[in-house]
Amino acid sequence: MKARKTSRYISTVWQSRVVACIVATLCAVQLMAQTDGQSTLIVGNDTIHPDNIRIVADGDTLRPRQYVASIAEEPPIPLLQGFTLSVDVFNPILYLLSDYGSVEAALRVSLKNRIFPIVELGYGKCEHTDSNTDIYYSTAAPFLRVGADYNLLKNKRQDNRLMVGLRYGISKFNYDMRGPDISDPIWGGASPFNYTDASSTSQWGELVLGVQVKILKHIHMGWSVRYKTEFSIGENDHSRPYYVPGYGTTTNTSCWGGTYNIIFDLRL
Amino acid sequence: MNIKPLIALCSAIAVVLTSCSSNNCPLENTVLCNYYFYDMDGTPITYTQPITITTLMPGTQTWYVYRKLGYTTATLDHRDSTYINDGYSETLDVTRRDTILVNQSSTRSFVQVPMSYFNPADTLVFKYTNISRNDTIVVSHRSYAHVELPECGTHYFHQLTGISATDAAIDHIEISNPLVNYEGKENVKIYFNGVAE
Repeated sequence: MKARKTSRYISTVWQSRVVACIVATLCAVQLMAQTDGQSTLIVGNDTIHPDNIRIVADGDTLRPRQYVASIAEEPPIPLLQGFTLSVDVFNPILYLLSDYGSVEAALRVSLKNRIFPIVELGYGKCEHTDSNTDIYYSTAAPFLRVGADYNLLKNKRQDNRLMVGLRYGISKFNYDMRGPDISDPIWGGASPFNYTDASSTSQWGELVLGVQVKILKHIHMGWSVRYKTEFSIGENDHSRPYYVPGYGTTTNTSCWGGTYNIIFDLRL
Repeated sequence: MNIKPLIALCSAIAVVLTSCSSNNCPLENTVLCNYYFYDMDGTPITYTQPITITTLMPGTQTWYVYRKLGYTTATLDHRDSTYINDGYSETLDVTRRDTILVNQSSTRSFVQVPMSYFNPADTLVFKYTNISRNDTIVVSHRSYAHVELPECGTHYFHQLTGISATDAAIDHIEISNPLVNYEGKENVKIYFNGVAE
C-alpha cells in the first residue's frame, strides 16, 4: 500500500517538473516553490532528497518496488561546470516595434553551478525624431557588459536556475543630432542645429533578476529583468546622448530593461 | 529553500528604486544671465531705485527731433509733416539701435538679462533714476546651442569670457559663474558704490 502511494508520487513528481518548466518562465517565485516541493521525499520519519533515491528494478520491468536512501555523501560539484552561450531575442524585436533596440550575445562560465561570471557583447541602434521639437537623434554602436550571476536555488544540481546578478556596462559611441534652425528672438539671426559624429563614452550598472529553464538536453530558455542606473553619460557642450547602446534612453537616470534568452549549454 | 537571498534582493531593489531621479526637461526653460547686486564691500543689497537696462542692437536708428521755442521737443522714430506745418524745426539724429531688456525694475537684489546667440559681446546700458549718468557694461561670451533631450527642444547656453563696466554707480564688476544656462545660478556680481547701512 505504501509502495503504491510512493510510486504514484514519483510519477507526479516528473509531471510537476514539466509543469514547473513552463511556469518558471512566468514567475520566479512559483519556480522556487515547485522545486522546493519536489526536493524532498518523506519515507517513514525520514526526509530524503530525490537525488538520494535509487530505484531498484525488478527483472525487465522498470516498476519500482523499493526505495533505498543512499547513505553515501554526494560527490562535490566540480568548480568548472561548463559554459553557456546565450542569444537575446527580445531586444531585436523591440527595435522592430520602436525607435531603438539591440542584438546581443553572452558567454557565461558556470562555477559549481552557483556563480556565473558573464561577458555580454552587443550592438545597439537608435533612430529617433521627436514629434514636438523635430529634433533627430541617431546612433549605432557596440557595447560591453561584464558581471556575474548567482544561482539562488538551493539544489545546485538541477538544470533550472533562478539568478540574481550585477553588471557593469560601457559603450563608446558617436551620435548625430540635428534640429530646426534656431533664431535669436532679440538680436536677430538664425543658425542651424546640426551636429554629427559627437563622441560619448557612457558607463552604467545593472541589477539583474533572471530565470532559466531547461527545454532540451543542451538548451535553456529564460528571461531577465534589469534595473539600470547611470554611472556617467558622456556629453558635450551641444547635447547629451538620448540613447546609449546597451543602456537605453537617458530620459531618466535609471531605467528598466530585459532580455529573453535562448541559452546553449556547453558542459565540460 | 533559503529565502534570505530573495529578501536581500528585494531590499536591494527597493533601495535602488527609491534613489531614482529624472532627467526631465527643465521647468525653467529660459536662459538668462543673472546679475546680483552688492555694495562695494561685498554685502548683498537690494537696489530700491528703478533700473532700466537697454542693449545695443546691430544697425542704426534714425530719430526725428522737432523743436519750437516755447513748446515741448518731440522725438519720433518716423517723419511727421504736421510738426513742420506747425512751424517746428526738424533735425535728424542717427543713433545705434537699442532695445529695452529690463524696464523700470525696482527693489531688486538681482536682475535677469537675456544674452545674444550670435554676437561675441553684449553691451548693456544701466539707466538709473537717481543718477543722471548711465553705466555701460560690456560682457563678452561664447554661445552654443544645447539639447538636453530631444523632447526639451534647443536652448542657447553661454560661457562668459570677460566683463567690464563704467563707474557712474558701479564700483566694480566680476564674473562669479561663467556658465549661463537654465539652472538660474548667479553669474555676475555687480558692486555698487557705497556701503550698505
